[in-house]
Amino acid sequence: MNTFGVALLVVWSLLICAYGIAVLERLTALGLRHFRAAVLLPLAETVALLRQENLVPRGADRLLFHSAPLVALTSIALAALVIPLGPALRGFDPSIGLFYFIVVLGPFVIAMMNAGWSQNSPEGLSGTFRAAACLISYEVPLGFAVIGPVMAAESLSTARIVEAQTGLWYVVWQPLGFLIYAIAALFMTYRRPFDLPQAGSELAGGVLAEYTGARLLLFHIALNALFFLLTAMGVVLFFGGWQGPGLPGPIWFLVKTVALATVLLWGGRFLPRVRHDQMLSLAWKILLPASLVNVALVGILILVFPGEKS
Amino acid sequence: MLALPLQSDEVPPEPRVEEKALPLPGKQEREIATELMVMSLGPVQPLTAGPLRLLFVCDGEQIVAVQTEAGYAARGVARAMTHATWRESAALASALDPLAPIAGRLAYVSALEQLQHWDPDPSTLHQREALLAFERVENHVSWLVRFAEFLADDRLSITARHFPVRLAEVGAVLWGQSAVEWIVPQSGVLSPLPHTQKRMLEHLAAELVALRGRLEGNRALALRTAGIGLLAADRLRAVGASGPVLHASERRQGDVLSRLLMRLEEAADDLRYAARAAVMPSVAEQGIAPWSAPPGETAVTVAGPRGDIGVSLASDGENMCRVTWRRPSAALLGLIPELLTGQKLADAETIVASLDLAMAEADG
Amino acid sequence: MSGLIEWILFLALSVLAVGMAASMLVTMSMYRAGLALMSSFVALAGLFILLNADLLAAIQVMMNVGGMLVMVLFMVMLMMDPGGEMMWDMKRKMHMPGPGALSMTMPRGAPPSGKERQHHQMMVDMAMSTAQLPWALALGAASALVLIVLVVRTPWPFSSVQPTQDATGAVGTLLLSRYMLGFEGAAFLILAGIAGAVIFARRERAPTSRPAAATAASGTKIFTCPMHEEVRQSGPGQCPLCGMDLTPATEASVHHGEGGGSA
Repeated sequence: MNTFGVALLVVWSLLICAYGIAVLERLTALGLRHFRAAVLLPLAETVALLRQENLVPRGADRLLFHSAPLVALTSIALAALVIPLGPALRGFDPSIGLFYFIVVLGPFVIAMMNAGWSQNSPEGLSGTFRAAACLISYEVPLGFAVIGPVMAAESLSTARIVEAQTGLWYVVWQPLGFLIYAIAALFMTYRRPFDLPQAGSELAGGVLAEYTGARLLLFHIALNALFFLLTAMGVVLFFGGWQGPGLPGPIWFLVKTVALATVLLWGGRFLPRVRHDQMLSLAWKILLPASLVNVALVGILILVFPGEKS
Repeated sequence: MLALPLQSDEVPPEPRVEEKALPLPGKQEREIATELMVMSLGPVQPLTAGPLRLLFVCDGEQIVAVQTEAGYAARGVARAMTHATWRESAALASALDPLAPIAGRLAYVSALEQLQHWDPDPSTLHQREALLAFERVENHVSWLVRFAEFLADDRLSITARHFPVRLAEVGAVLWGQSAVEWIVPQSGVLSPLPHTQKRMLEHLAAELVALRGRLEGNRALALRTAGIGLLAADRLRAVGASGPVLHASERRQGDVLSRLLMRLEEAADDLRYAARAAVMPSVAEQGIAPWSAPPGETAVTVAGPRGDIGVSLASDGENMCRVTWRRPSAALLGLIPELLTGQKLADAETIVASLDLAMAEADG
Repeated sequence: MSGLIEWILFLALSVLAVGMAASMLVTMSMYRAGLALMSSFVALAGLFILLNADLLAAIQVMMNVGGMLVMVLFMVMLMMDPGGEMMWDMKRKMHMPGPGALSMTMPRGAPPSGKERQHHQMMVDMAMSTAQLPWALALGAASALVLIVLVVRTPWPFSSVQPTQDATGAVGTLLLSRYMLGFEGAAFLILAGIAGAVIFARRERAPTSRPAAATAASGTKIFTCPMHEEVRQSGPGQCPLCGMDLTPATEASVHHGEGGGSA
């Protein structure tokens, strides 16, 4: 498939997955009784947003304001390329696959911060700084949490990590690493209970306060797609990726991703929103030492049980 | 063609803060040249029931000065009452706080009865008290839903949403659509409370107590609410506040968590009282209610959901010549600037939400 | 990939890198300048990818995006006009020819004399247009030219070694064997820097959620300094000891009996 075809496919899949995550979000909020409403609500909201007037606030930094959602989507599309959907199904497989994934999501945070800054409003600026606080909260624990699977598979390539889990899924003997990764995933996409840059006490959205219409829709798509990507990467790292008996690889992958996304969405809603200083405390006083302990544990387990690897 | 305001090209003015009126700390030329930013919340906002504009002058996330703009819901109820007949004033009294119509109307009707030198018999008193207690519970429970939504605590929000629905069911059975209309001067009816409704009310009370117990041990909630927004009881008494906010400061610490727990406790107590004391009014008995008042002056205080609602009436035999209302939310509104200065933004909003201000009542 | 595409990409990335660096110097907005620096480095990372050095490219992006970001945030917090709007306005009002942001010449005519001269000088200083700027540009261009000539004329040795396929393993092994001292030493230095910064920035008693309930008996507010509790004034102002702004006092005395209170 030529590169244009791959790009188009990636973009379409991301849109569909973003819609799926939005549906899951409504399902976990409303309950299974309102299944039809949950499926149709995101569509209704999409149409409503598209019909909304596109406002640019007075004194906004126009270049940053217009480019922010596009940068966000580009970085997500680039990150989506390294997720292996099946035994031979992936965008491309660099030897630094996982590292590339984490690095290419950096501009996403930049885009969110640009969005907050460019609005020329106090809510946006507060949202920007809260997003920066989120960034420095999750970055280091995330890095340490994903080192576990990397150490076990002895490679940064995502395909290799999936293949190395043929014997035993990593979540079984690296539960702490998985927990830290899950929390970091909630941080990165500003989901409950860590949604302070985006919604939170600031009315109408913090970083996205002055965005309306199609641009806001692009941001929602970007955030949902990013959540899907992070859950997918979580499945790749800890739940054996596309491996499973019977059904073909991509189906198993989808099933596992949906299950993990449901668990994360449902669980995260049950805690009240954290304040920004509580979030920083949590990250630096609890998550970081836990992730260091995790690295030590995983290293010891690898040395003690050499047969565990694949 | 009409030139509607919407089509004008004028830019609405930015929210202005009177710098001289606020006790801002002095700006000095330090190495760090920071700029204070003005955040405007409102007038439509989730923190209060009713429109209120809060202007926070913030240094980053910390609030340095607060200015409130109230009066969006001012209708001049007291003045309107002096121009209305006695009967119409009853409707105005219940419109003072649309969330607590029974309390307002009961205060007015009790004042009328006092002027008429008529003592209601105990059963009428019990019925009215039960109605009042029920209304207090309704308010506390709907406040709980709003607060949970604001805190983004979905578990609490889901639990809290059951209560208004079930209360409304019981209330509909007990006194039909408009409980307010049952409060007329010198009227009382007798009828026992059906057993099922009584049990439902007690069941709800037990659930509220259980919820309160769970919330007290909830550490995640305590992170956002414990130790925040401490108010001293003396200060509250000095400004004339009453109700759950005062009780929370008297009996407990007086922070957001204690106000939350106190409201749940009081709601449970009120429900049990209502279960014991409520009687179902029957449709036939209405009696001839005298809507008049001989000359005199009187004052009545009624325990509303947010505090004591007081009315003082002066009549000259024909008309009402003077009426003043003592409104609990207005007292709390005055405490906001000193309470919020120095807080973080998120904490400040939690504090305002915990005060349960009804702006219609506060503006009068 | 084919040679033509490589050439086009190389040109595009190079133009991006140089152009972003230039716009960083020219733009009025500090935020945009930080972003332009970031983009310039990311373009360099693209060049690394063209050279098959993927690990290096990823590291370049990660360090610069993360590092520049924090730098930009500190600029926004500490500097006076991070958005550049004030300066833009000022240039426009001074009727500088050309687009305000790119205009670099001084206003025509003799500067006003007397009292106005001070004001005018201050405006010129704040508008960041001085007589030295054209000299600085000339010096920069000259040094760039010298460097380019040097680079073009040096006989660079051509290596026939294939680029490493899996650089990560090789780099990791090197870091923990040959360069272990530097690796661990750098970590210790960074830790020392962090500890020093925390100690410098920490106050005597860090204010967390400070309730500003007024003094119980009277209605007067007492202002105190966060670092020096003994300083108490009845009105706002500055602490005579350290110069910080005074904030309303916490009512620790009122709540001693009640327990709880702020951390």
